[in-house]
This record gives sequence, structure tokens and C-alpha cells, in this order.
Amino acid sequence: MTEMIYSLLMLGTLLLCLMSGVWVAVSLFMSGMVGIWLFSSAPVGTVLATNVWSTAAEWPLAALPLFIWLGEILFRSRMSEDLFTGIAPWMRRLPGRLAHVNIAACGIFAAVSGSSAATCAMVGKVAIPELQKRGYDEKLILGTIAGSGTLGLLIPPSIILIVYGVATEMSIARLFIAGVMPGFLVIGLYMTYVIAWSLLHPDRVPAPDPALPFRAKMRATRRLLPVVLLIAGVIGSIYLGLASPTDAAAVGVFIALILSWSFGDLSWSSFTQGLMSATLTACMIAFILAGAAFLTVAMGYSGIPSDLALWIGGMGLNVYVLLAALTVLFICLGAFLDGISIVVLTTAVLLPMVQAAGIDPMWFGIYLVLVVEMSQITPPVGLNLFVLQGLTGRDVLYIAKATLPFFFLLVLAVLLLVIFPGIVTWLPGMMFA
Amino acid sequence: MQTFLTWIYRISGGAAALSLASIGVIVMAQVLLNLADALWGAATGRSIGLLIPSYATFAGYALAFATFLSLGLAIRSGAHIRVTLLEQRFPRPLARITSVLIPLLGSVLGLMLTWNIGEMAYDARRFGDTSSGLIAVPLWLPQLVLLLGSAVFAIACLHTLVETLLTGRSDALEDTAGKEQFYD
Repeated sequence: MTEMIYSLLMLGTLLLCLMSGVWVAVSLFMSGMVGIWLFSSAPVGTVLATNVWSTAAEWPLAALPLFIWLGEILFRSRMSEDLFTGIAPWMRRLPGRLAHVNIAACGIFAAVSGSSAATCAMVGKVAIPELQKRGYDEKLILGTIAGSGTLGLLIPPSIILIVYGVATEMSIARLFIAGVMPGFLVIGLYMTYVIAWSLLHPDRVPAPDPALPFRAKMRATRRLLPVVLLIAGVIGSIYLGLASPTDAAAVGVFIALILSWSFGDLSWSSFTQGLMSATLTACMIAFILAGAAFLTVAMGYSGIPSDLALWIGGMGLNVYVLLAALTVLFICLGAFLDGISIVVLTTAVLLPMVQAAGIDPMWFGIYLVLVVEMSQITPPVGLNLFVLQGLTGRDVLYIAKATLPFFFLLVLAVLLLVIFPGIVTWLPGMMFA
Repeated sequence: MQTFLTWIYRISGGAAALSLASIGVIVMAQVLLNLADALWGAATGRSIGLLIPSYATFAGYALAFATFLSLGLAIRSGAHIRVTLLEQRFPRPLARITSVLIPLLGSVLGLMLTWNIGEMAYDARRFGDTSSGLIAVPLWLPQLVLLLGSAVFAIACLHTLVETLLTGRSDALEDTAGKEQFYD
């Protein structure tokens, strides 16, 4: 009985802190302290110091600030214009035309950036005015950008997959590669939807531009080439086992600096701004991870995760029912929590249960990212919606309505992953060790 | 006093940025050495094993420094995320209470971290603990940097606490949603 009350006290502390607006990291530490104090006789402060010390200096986590920095450098470069002018000529003949540029540009930028909102902002700032000028349907523009922006979380390098990998002590390289095929799947679903929508609403798509000869297309794409090579280098070297994600990130930063210098948009101020911004973001995420690691120790003392696993195991629940229930839970959590907090709370509390149910943790990581992607485009707290609100001045609900079809496409993608888990596991299985 | 504190956050944050950049430099240098080694190996048939000793350890330390030294600046510039959705709907008296509670809990954590990391570093110095690996670094050295970072974090939280107690608000707690806050 006391165990039960202690557990409720610990979880209550966490919920109360989060709801009152205490910093997420501090909330995790606080409930961890309450848990250790209640459930063990260990000195709270000593556990705190040793735990923080051992998690703060982890080598795999070094990939995180480097990939954030890589995104910051390219975000401050000329790349967003190049993305638009480089992709647009190739999409002229597809039904839906330049709306596909949004999806493809987000897909490419997602492959250098690990963030959904950064992807959204980067593509949106150039593509929205260009497409509006050409008379595209505003809802289609906003929907494609908000929806495709979430690819930043899935296509490697992905900040959220680094967080998941560090929190679960799994190989980040394998998680990255596992995200590739689902990324293509989501791009495919989005493009199919845009084609279908345009065929159904021919009156709301502007008239086609004349086709460009192949050489003119190549000329327009030429400037995009270095960035595409950079991406291929980073992901390819991880896949081939030539480099760890941390190594690949460092080389990526180095090349991105050279590229942005050769483009002529690397100045001392843009360099320091990018570095400072990356430092603060990395600090925020690493501190949440430290808090989550500390909470995990407390959870271990409390036995809550293993009890939960036993309880679910005892119910003999069907895996599909469990996943459906989890999906609803995550969508609700996503309405007020951010993606990284959802991931660390899941790994601290739910992972033993998930494993007890016989779900592959690598598959579960990708599933979790897809569900978190959904929360990026659902109100009231959907970061992509905020970014687009900032760019267009439209209110969040209007943008959310425009994005709704893409939310359902993500639900469809999750269903496909459940039915065909091979979409996730096939590519990492082929990796060179 | 204000400007003095701002300088502390800035210097500490600047040192954090330098640490982050040095992760890149350390890792990049090792990658170049690996590359040189592979080329040399291909040319002569035997590799020489070029290596920055304990480079993973040093990159790890640099990461910890980058995280801890920027904690204070991150608090003051609102970079740490928190749930602001419910707060906006709180009635005034409740909002007044949480505006004090938030930095108060931050200060408690900051002071606990400072005290206990301090104790850990003191013990490490007393017992002469060193890192394992090719280069044995006395552990109290990197721990001292974490101690400094924790102290700046505690100062930033106390600073915010004093502000909310005196004026009922603080720039550090302003809602940042929609600003350039991308990696959540």
C-alpha cells in the first residue's frame, strides 16, 4: 500500500511540476529526487552528482551538439533559395506541380537538420511567398510545409533519435539507418496525396509552366549539388560503417563551414550566432537527458516500470491493442508536451513494458518518432504550426486545419509500419557492421 | 549588479560555445589522422595507428563543459523548454505562485548540484581519482568545471527568483513559443 502511495507521490510531483510550467529538465530532476528519497535509503545528493557526472560526458551524445550546429550553419546559409530554385524545374510536370517542391525540399533539408521546426522554417521562408505569388492554394502550401517539416525528425541525422538512442543505450547509427525507409514512405504518401488532390481540384492549381530542357534543369540544380553530396557523405559513411555518427557529424560541420564560406555567407557574426544558438539548444536537450537519466534511476528504485510491464504482461494484451492505446496516449501527451520530453519519459517509464510485450526497441523508436511527428502538427502545442504562424500571420487553428490531411497520412504511415515492420528493420539489417 | 551578473552568464556561455567547437575540432582531427593512417597503410602496407590519446574521453568532457557552462545563460535567455500552455490560463494569484515556484525549484536543484558536485570533486582530489585510458586525467579537474557551471546555473535561478519575488515577472520566464526555438 505504501508503495502505491509513494509511486503516486513521485508521479504526482512530476505532473504538478510540468503543469505549473517548471522547466522540463528541472521537473524530471525534482520527481527523481522525490522518488529516491521515498524508495531508497541512498543519499539523494550523492546519487545526483554521480549520475549527472556519468551521463554528461557520454561519447555518443557528442553527436547531438554537432548535428545541431550543422543545421544552424546551413540554416544561416543561402541553402533555402538553392533548394527552391534547384528542385522547382523537376516538379513542373507532376500534378500538383510546385507543391511537391515543399515536400522534396523538406526531405532534403531534413537530411542535414535534425529538427522539425527548423526544417519547416527553412523551407517555408522561401517557398511560401514564391508559391503564393504563383497562385497556389494557400491551404495546400501550408499543409505540405507543416506536414513535410516533420520529416526533420525521421530522416537522419535526427536529434530525437540521438536522444532515444542515448536514453536506451542503443546504436545511434542503426537507428539513423532505420529511419531512412520510413522517411521515404512518408514522402511517398505525401506526394501521392498532393497528386490525388490536384487531380480532384484542377481549378485550384495554377496552369503548368512550359517544360524545361534537361540541360536547363541541370543548370538550375547545380548549386544544390554540394549540399546533396554532403548529405550523401554523412549518411553513407554511417551506413557503410566508415564513421560513427559523431565522426560523421564533425566532418559534416567542417564541410558545411567550407561550403557556406565558399557561398560567401559565412561571416564572423553568422558563425558566432550559429555556434551560440547550437550551444543553447544542445544545453537544453542534454540537461533534459541528464534529468531523464536521474529519473530513470529513481524509477528503478520504485519498480514502477517493471510493475507496469508485469501488469500489462499479465493482461495478455494483444500487441496491436497495446500499440493503439499507446498511440492515443502519445497524441494526448503531444498536445501539451514537446517531442523530446515525450521520448525521455517513455524510455524512463514505458520501455520495459514495451519490451515485455515483445516489441523490438529499434522499431519502437521509429514508431515513437512518427507519433511525435504527429504532435508537431496538432494544436494547441505544435511547433510547426507556431513557425508557420510566425511566417504567415495566419492563426494556429487555420494552419492546423490545412495540415489535417497530413496528420492522417502520418497515422496511415504508422499503420503501415505496424503491418510491415520490415520497412524499419530491413535496411539496418543490411548494414556493414 | 545586473550587468555584473549578465557578464557572468555571457562569459560562461562563451566558454561553453568554445567547448562545443572544440568537440568538433577534436573529432575532426582524429578523423583526419584515421584517414592519413589508412592512406599510409594502403601505400606502405602497414599502418602506424595514428591516434589522439583518449580522444573520446576528451570529446566527452568538452560535451559536459558545453552543457554545464551554458546552463545559466540558457535559463536567462529562456532556452530551456517548459509547458506554458496551462500557465497562460491560470488565474492571477495562482500565476503569481508558480512564477515564484519555478525559479525556486530551479534554485534548489542548482544549489544541490553545486554542493554535491563540489563534494564529489573534493573527494576525487583527496583520493587522487583519475580517468581510465591512455592519459590519466585527475577527475577533479573536469568536475571543477561542472561545479562552476552548476554555480552559474544556481545564480541564474536565484536571480530569476529575486526578480519574480520583487516584480512578479522575469524576462527569463517569458513565453518563447514561435521564436527561433527550433530543436524541441
